[in-house]
Amino acid sequence: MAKKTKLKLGFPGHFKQVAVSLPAGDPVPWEFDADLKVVGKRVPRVDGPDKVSGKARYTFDLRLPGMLHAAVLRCPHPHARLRRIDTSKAKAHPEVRAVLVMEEKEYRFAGAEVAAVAATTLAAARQALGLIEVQYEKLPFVTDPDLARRPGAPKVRTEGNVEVSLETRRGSVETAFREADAVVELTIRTPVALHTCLEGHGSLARWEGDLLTVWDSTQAVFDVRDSLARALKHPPENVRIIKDHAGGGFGSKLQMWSQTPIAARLAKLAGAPVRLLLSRHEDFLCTGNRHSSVQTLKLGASRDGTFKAISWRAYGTGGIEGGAETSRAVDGLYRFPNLEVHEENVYTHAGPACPMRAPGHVQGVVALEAAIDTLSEKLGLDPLEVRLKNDPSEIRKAELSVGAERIGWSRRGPSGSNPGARKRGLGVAGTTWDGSGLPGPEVEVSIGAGGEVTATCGTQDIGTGTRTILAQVVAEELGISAAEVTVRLGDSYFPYSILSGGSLTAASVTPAARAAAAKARASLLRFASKELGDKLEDLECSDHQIRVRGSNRSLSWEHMAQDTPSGRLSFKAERQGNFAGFEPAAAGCQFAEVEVDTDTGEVRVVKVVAVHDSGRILNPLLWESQVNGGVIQGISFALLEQRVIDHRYGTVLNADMETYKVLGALEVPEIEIIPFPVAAGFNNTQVIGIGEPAIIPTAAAVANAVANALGVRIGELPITPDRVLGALESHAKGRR
Amino acid sequence: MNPFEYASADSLDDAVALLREKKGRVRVIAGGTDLIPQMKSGVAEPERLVDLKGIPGLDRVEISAGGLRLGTLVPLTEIASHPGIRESHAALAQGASAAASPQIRNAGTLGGNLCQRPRCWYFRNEDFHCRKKGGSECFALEGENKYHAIFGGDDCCIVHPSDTAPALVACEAEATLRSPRGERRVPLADFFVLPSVDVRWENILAKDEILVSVFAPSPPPGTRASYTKIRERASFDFALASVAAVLTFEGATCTRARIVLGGVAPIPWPCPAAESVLVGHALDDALIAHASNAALEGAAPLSKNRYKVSLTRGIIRRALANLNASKEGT
Repeated sequence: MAKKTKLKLGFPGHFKQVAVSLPAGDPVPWEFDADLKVVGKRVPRVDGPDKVSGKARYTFDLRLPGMLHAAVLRCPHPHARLRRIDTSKAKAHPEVRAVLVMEEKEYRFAGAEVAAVAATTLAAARQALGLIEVQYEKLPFVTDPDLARRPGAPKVRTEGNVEVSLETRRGSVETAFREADAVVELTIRTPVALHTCLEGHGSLARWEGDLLTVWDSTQAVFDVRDSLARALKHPPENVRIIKDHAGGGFGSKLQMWSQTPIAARLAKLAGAPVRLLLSRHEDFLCTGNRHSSVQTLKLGASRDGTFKAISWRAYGTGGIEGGAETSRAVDGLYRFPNLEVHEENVYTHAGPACPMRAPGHVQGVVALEAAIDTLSEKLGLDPLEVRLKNDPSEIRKAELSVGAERIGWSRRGPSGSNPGARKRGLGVAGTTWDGSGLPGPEVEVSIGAGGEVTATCGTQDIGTGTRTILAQVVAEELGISAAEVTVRLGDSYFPYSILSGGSLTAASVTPAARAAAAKARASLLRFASKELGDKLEDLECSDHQIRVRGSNRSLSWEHMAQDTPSGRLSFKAERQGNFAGFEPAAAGCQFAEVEVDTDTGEVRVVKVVAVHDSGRILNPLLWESQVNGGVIQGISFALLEQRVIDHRYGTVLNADMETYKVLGALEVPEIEIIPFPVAAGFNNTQVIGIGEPAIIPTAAAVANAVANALGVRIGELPITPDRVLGALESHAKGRR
Repeated sequence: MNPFEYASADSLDDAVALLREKKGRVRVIAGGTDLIPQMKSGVAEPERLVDLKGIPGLDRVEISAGGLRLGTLVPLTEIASHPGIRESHAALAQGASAAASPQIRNAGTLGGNLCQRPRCWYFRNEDFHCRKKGGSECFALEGENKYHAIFGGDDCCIVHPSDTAPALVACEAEATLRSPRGERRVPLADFFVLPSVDVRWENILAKDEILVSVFAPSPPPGTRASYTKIRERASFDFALASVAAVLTFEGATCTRARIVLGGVAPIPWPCPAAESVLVGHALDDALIAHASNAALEGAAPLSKNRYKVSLTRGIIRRALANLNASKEGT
């Protein structure tokens, strides 16, 4: 039975009573200002010591007795068909134990898998690849999305290279543009970016009879289990996926990539465990990327800056994958009474895209916020005022005011007004992202015969601190410290959880943990009440025992656990559906100050102010770490990162960490993080994810700051010296 | 990576003998920060490595009245932080500190920095059999050439990646080379060769020859020097363009000027035209602008590196203005 109640939701100054229907058996959310002992505290990562001491094992650290090493032969051509393959010499290599030729015989990007080898050493496996004789029939290819759109371009798929990915209309943009006082149109290009996780992609597969265990670099043990079971036509219950520690994912480990079934198949063939670890080069070619975008936005407003209409026409390429979309970023960020969206995905003979931290939003917000600044300029209005006027979120409006104060927005001059070669500029951008969580995850909380508390869930900690927040929530409910809770996760043999992506984990898993711990607590109290003969309301749960208030009588958890046949008390709860909340998604905004050197084209980000809400902040240390990471990754996207393909050959030129440039320590600016706690509703811990919101506005704010500094809009990311100097040169020519 | 032999030399004679045995398929190694990645990516496939680290004395820094002698094994970190070098040869110290990352500067040596292979992403990619690897085509000339040469790159448009080389050439340094045929000394400016001279290799070292040391004479009194490097990523990157500038002043007058560019040509690129604009004059904004324009005359940018012309002009102007402002008595 659902329980109807009223919750005080909102933030100081904006609280309101909201009628909600709480899921049956679910704990009532903590009050906004509840006096919590563990939740909301700066608890260091529970696995921090293991990570810094090297005790934490990642897929790349694992070795099993008799383990073989695998390597993959990859097609060097962007489009080719297998004409002939002879693996006999590779098979005859004394150290080779298995050779596998892929079923797919047409390769649609340079890097596609052709064959794989397992050998007693990695060197031998690589050597054996060289012994495979292979002949390709080279086929016409296209890697440049602009060329791929043209009629007659080589086909990436039979249905054609262009696919409408999103088409929406609301109201009449034509009429609204006619009636608008100002209309601007601009085109923004963003590159293909690579996830660049510290831990690459790898799998270690072992068969024991019919049971297949794979230690996999993944953000989704259950999804990989199902995909692998399908790929091998093997019952999912006989597939176990383990991911103890992960070195980042950013979306590139949400799906199963080929290394997993290849390792499993080779292991079966060889009758020995097989480890297949992709090199950074392979990782960059084959395991996902952020799709590119070419976005042409037309934005119209009335004289006072009220938006009237937006037209969003965009295309992008995700290589052989679909999914190029950017316009979803507008939903909930600003009000557009009239809207028209036409988006196309362009297929090219390049490595497949997959979701990357805030898919579509990072690119979309860059274009949208650029259009708003351009429009504000045309209307002679302060771009911050224009945003405040059109923003539907009470939270974000409050955040914009706080952020403006911290960055010193009043210093912002007209664009390009800075004298001298080193010009400062300020920019702002917003975000909205629904990370309020999904139902489904289950958490088991158990109390062992020694009184020890364990929380078990098949979720993954991809570096965000899931272990720690689970420990905190359970500890809070049971009245102990986070360090006293052992968290076991990352195993498909554990209770079910969803993938760790989309900023969903904290909001999906911690409510189940809290519900399970609450069940444990209630059960312990009932047990003790019976045993001690005291009323429930006279009992309290703390310090690993149930105490009778005002007396020295108590009953230890240990005692109660030992009293069961298994010597262990166990409680499981499932994450229920969301209930009503304050605002449908996390808001947030970031301000950037940059300095641009017009002699050299160098852009330096001086400072970023990041103001974010995400419901209840479970652990400020981890939360700030997420925001820092998002800002850093966002600046990296704004200023450095781009995959470069030589379209004449369809070859990626910078599939390495030297030439695919990721922000380094010297480029990280001062980052001021301002948490904006909100009683959000939605679930019993009132958490909303912060992973994606933290990166969404950064590149947009930086790009706007650069435009403010220069008085010239660099229409393409990353904003590198060549583009800055090129734009300044054409601007100067245009003036003459 | 192919299997290879490893030999540790304990003297220069030993080293050159070890080099000679397997003609051409032998490489010397010290810090290995460039060679090992080349071997991993299949760009270099030596049969034998000769390690110089065991040879005594090659890591010595000697400062005398006449100048500065640096052994080939002196780590970049030491050059960057050595108070004597910072005093006498500021451009060199600044160049060394601008190279690579702290870890690489700790392991990397002067000799390695001067003899490193180019970073061209076609050269470094196994899939492209370019001119530098014995092929017939330079793929960058009409390809992705944003990082490539605007001077001297007609046959192969790599840029020389070293940050110490432009500084040392500007200091008029001399290199000492050793082979089984004995020792020879050459001006460092002549050590580097254009692709039109040798497209396969960036310097005059014979296959059995080792760069032993570099000597940079003491600059005359009144000399001011700097090294300016522009890169996309300050934490670790090669130069989009760089300039080593060494100017000598007598009073307000510039009596001697050496301007050498990095990151814009297959060799450290001297700018005699700019130098002659400066010599004999007191510097002002107009003269400095004139000199920086002269330095870029004859630049032949490719489809995607036009920006290097204005970038290089800008940093020359800035470097000269800063040196002029810092001269004694100003």
